[in-house]
Amino acid sequence: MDDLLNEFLAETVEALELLDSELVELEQRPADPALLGSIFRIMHTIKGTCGFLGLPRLEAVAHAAEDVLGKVRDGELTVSADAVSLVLAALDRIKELIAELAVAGQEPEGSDDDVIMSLRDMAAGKWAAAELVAEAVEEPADLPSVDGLYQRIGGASLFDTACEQACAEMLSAVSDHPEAETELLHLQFALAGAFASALTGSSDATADIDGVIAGLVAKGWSPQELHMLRDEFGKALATLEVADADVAAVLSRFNVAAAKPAAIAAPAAQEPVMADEPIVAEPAAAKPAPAKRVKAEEPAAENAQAASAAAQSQTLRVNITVLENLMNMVSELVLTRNQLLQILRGVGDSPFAAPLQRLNQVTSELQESVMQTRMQPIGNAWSKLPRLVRDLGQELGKKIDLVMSGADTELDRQILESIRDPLTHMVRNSGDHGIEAPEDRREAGKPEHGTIRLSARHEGGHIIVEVSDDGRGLSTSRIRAKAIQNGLATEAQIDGMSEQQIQQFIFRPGFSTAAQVTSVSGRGVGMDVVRTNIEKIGGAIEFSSTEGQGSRFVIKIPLTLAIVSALIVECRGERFAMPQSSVVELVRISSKSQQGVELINGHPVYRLRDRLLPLVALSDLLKIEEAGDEPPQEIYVVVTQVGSFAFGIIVDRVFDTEEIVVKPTSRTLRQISLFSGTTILGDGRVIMILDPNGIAAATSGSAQSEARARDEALAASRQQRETVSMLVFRAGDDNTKAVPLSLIARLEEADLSNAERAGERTVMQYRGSLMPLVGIDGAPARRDGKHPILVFTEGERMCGLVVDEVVDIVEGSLDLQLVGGAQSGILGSSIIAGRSTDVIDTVHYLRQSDAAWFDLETREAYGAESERRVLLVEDSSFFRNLLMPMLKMAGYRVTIAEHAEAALEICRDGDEFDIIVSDIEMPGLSGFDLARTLRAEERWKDVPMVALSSHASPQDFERGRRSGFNDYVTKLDPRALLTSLSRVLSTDEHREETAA
Amino acid sequence: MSMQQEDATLDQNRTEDFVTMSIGGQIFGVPVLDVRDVLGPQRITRVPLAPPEIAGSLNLRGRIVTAVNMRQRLGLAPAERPERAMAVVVEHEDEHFSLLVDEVGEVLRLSERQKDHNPATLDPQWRQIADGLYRLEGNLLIVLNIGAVLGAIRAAA
Repeated sequence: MDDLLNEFLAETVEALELLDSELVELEQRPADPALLGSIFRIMHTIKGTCGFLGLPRLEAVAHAAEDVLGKVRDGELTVSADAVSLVLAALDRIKELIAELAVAGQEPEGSDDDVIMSLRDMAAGKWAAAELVAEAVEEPADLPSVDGLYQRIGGASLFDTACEQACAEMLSAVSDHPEAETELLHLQFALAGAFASALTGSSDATADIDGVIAGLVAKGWSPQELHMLRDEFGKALATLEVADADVAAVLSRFNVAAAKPAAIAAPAAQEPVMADEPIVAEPAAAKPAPAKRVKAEEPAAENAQAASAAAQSQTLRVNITVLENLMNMVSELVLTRNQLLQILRGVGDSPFAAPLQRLNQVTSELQESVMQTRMQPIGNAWSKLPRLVRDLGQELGKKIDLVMSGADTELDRQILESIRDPLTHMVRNSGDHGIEAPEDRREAGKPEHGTIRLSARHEGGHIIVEVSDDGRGLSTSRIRAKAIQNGLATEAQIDGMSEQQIQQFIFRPGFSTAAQVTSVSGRGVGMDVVRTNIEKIGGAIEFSSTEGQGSRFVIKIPLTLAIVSALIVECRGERFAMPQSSVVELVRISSKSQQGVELINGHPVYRLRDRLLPLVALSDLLKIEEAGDEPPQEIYVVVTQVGSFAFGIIVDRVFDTEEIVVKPTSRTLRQISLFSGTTILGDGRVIMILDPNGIAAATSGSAQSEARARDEALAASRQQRETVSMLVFRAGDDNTKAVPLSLIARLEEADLSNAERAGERTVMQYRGSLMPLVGIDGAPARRDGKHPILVFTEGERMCGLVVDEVVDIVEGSLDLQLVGGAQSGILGSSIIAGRSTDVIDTVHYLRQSDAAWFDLETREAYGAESERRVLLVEDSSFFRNLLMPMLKMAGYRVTIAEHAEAALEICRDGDEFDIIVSDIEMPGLSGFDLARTLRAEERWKDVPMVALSSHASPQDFERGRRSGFNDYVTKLDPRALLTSLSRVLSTDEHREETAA
Repeated sequence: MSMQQEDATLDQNRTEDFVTMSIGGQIFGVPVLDVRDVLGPQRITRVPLAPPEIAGSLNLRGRIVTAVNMRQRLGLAPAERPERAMAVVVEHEDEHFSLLVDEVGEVLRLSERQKDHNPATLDPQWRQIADGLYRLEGNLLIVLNIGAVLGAIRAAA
């Protein structure tokens, strides 16, 4: 019985899901008889099965819902939103009951009268009378008489018992029949269901019973046996103290004559049974008038049933654990195959060669097939969404269409399970926050119906899932305000972000933009969970939105978790697998010269082309001690990218890439964040799989992971880092000092006693030229001892800042606080890695080292021969302090505006400027707004403007261009700004000349 | 106490089969039904950063099994020739573990009559993982509680 119950649960859960979406569909296509037939059948089966299993609550609810559906099918009720809602409510109740049934093994106590009464009222036409078809008004009167027989006799439980008894009798009679027992079990269940529907009038009387009989004939039952079954059934009813007349009435439905061969093909085409056996008059009278119409549609439905029956025989329900075991066995087989092939290669000519090749091939195919069994269409994760969207629309009074495409895109079931909830959440969000109310949409000039689109497609070993809506989109200013209000970022931090970056705040824990909490969403939990879930399976999620036009989520997920491509590396004789997806490139370095590797206080960095890459030795991370033997001749750096954080992992050797089968790590090892799993290599050895995320976190500590949490979700390509890599060092006093890494060209260490004196300056020969060296106090460096030197370059010239000790490289946000009466050379101080740290002004040192050449060279370099007037609009004090001295030194006369409004005021006051440099993200008016406003004014329409931002993607650039900016440069690269200024000014002059 | 005595009387004739193994000279037993496999010396992949009791992972016919160094777990000195360790594979919470021991002996059928409770003087580290002991001829067999042996590793980790 337990097996039966489990089977029932599995089947019913599946059927309910199907019902959910079909009902929503029905609402849209109320005239589709096939759809209605299918819905009715599903509900009917649920009811029948519940009756058979002795689940009265479920049966009653399903029965009431079936009644309503029957009325709809018979044309007595039209499909209305109310009717569908009511049936959906019944479905929900059934789901609740099923859920408890699954846990407890029996139905919970309680009453479903609320649902049942509403359904009955609906069936009886008491609900919204206007929705009743006129001809059906007198129909309800017939209902009690039909119900009468069934209920009078004793309802489902009696029929169950009777069928059971009859079948038990039959079993003893036909025990020589192969599989008689199971067959009869099915029969018992089918028969009880068939009688129930035939006698309650909700179905067309005898089709179900005829179907059962036809099925028996098809299985080879003789007419004698059928008669026997009929008699046994009659006897059983009699023993259950059913009145003789009622027994006859019931038996009249059991028409053995239906067992003609023709009945198998089209039982519905049979003459109505009542005509043959007019024993009882009441069922005939109950035959409703519209039945003819329904009859005509029946063959189509039957065909559909036949087709789906054929489809069913092609599939088989298999327990997941069986598949998992199969997968394990195949892995094992693959390993054995690999071993055999290895042996074969060793012996050369062998009679085993040919069969082994065949084995090889079959194994590969088998592996592929087994992988295939784990694949499921993504539509399985979507099946609940149409219902969800419909309910949402009803509850919120919105009109929402859900358009789904690519539902047949297949992916691993494990991944499917992981994205089910995130997808649901996103669709819910779109419906709740995204789509506006119909009147708002009309006002905004959009169609009343909002559309949520869900699509999936394959793209290069990944699946791309998109959820988009044409709703109101997200207001960046609201996100911004919220982020600040919730303490997720400071104003200064946000000012340095692009619109798109600000939008990603919705993925931060504790963030919710919904102005009010609805019953659906807006509780401030959600998108962060969505992101976490997606990242857990190695996916990425990106969000973009245009206010007023809609929002779009793009999720990129791997096809399968089970098999990934991995780079095999070795460290101190032990091998590890590194997921290929996070490996950017490999660099080989001769370990003697270690060219390019620079040690900063024991922290190695590598100069990879134009950037400094923090390095971390795998042996240090994993605390694998030196094996004692010679260090390897060369080392390899695996350049790894995690979110926007790039770093290099030092390993001893690099082997091939291999397709590996990922297995979870043992519970005892799960807390080691550096491993994401374990696997068996082709040669049978077990190796651990490194987790790039864990390594990144371990590499740079909490500062980095905080930065990562902020921007990890953004695809690296479209994302500039919003944090700054800072080099932290000590010089002069005990306080740590820092400088943005991007401003440092190189790090050197030199013995200053070899430095030379040139006039008042200390210089050093460096790369074929003389480099002035200055101390932290700005004075020429003392010529003694070995010191690290930070090299700043400007054009062809260089300057070395001699420091005492380089402490670390820290990835962190730069939240600069100004210190009163600032010391020269210090921009301000910032909390870096938990300590108050002075951020130095590199320009100050460049100037100190050689004021004369600096001024001269820069003037020449940037062609600022006469004093140009620059208006610098920048709200961040850090960047003002960074840029102003530099611009001044390059020969510009700088006027500062702290925000766009101030800039406008200055411009309108009559000041003249040759060029305007403006930040983009500012409180109040943005840089784009400023540009648009100024461009509209006669006096400023031709003045060159350069946009300044901490990130410059092609989209940003394009947007800047559209707003009226001539160029777009990133803040962190002062040289680029100078070049841009000079370029823009010269084209401007050129243009003026041509114009003149 | 009287209850336990009663139990003991009732169980006088019950017997249980144990796979015996020796670790650092002491004989231990694991109920036969808990043992999935007994293996000779295996190639074990060390897992960096793992708790000290974890010797590493090994491939048991396509299944990755975590090897537990029983000497370490019992607080004994490392084996002189660890590469010759035998492995007793047990299942715990749906996961397989391989217990590395010095030697695996025969299967003994032991009667409840021979059973005793943990002596109060037993080392606390041992007492946690011992499920009582059996008096053998001239020797004592300590019954290993697999759940306790493996559970503590996870908890400590």
